Amino acid sequence: MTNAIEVLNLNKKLQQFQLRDVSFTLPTGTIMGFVGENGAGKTTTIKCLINLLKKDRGSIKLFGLEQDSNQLAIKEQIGVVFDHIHFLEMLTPKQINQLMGAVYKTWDQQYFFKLMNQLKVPIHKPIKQLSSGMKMKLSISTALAHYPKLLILDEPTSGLDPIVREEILDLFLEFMQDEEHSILFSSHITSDLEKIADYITFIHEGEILFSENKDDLLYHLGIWKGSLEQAKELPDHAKVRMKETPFGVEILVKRNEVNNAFYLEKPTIEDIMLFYVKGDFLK
Amino acid sequence: MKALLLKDFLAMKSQLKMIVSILLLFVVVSFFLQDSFYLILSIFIFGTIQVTTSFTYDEMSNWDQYANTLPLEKSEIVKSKYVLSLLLSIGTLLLFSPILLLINHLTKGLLLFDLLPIIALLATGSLLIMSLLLPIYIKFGTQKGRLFLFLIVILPIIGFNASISFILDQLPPIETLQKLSYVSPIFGAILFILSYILSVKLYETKEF
Repeated sequence: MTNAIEVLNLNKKLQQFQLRDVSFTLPTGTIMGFVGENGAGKTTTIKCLINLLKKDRGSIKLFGLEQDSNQLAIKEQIGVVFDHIHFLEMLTPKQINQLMGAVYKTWDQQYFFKLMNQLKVPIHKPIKQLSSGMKMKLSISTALAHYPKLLILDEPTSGLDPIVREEILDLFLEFMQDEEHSILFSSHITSDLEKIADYITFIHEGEILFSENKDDLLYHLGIWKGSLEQAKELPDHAKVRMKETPFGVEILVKRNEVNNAFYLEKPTIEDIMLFYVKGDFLK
Repeated sequence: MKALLLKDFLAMKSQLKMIVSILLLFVVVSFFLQDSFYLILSIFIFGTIQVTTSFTYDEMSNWDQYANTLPLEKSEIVKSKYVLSLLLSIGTLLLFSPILLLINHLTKGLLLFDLLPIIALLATGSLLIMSLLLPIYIKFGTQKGRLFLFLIVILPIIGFNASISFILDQLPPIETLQKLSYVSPIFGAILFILSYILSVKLYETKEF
């Protein structure tokens, strides 16, 4: 299986922030959820991927091609969506169609208008008159209408209501019907990722804490709840992170290293994120 | 590049009515004052303002960040701004030249022979201003760039006023000046090309 994205030891220093040895791989045909709190380095990593920021060190490959020497070939095959629309606000979707038709060789006008119609985005209204949900639908349709192989999405669902988010997630799933297609999806709305992601990559303070298959991750980890005293019965090597609560402690543990007698709750991605960010190591 | 120019012109379309009314106002003023100089001047000022506006629009929507995710060469993005400024200054002048000539004919204003050096000099001035302004806009953006625009316009005026008596003494005969004014756009064009090369270099080092 080829990889849509391969990042190895990516380093980038900004004024008050640094990406340190970021590495992850997105296999073709899968969706990767890229999670982390605000300011963890999601956008910086994504910007390095598309060369909006120049990397200091490391290697980035998209579709097996070195990113810095194959920029145009790569950009023909990707669709990028940011959290805000970046078209001038007086332009209408109809004019955007005209514009993008001149950018991409593979732009499909009929498909674009079909999406606009399906998502009920009025094509004659200037962007400034569209709701934030409609703006996002327009951004995503614009990223889809040249048939990219890879979608790179930076917080596309943040600030949107659950109904619009659902519609947008459906679009992504439709896009994934083709097994050559892949998505890198950064978000801090972890419930969206839980629905559609195959892999979860978690970045914290500029470093990747883990990048794993979502089902493995959720299956292999469990949350144990009890008092600090009771916690001593858990084997040390099974404990990943601990959080103190008003009722005692919660411990994230490796499920297969804990005796079945212990009752473990199934974690969500949000739980895991909180454990990693807010929790402590436990001896 | 077609797409980038299209974007700038579509954006301008939204203020088309205002642009046309202002230019018409200057046509009327030129008629009444029996002097087409104001119309020519307004065309060049119009060009500079519109180029600045196009940069401001891009900044407001953070367009460059998006443009750099599209399969476009950075040099194409820069080139589109240079072509835009040419179209807006020299292009508009060509578009208005029949009106200019008509006004000039009807008002029996300047002789064509006198008008052409003025146009040539203004074209040179326009190329000069754009050559200085575009790299500044690309490097610093329009907020800081506006300050430079002010300096670019004011400093030469101060300098000219301060040294006018000296200049008048040293001036070559009027025929030589006229000949010089005809060839001045060539120097403007050379500077414009050098400015483009510099802007591409500046744009290539930019991060978004």
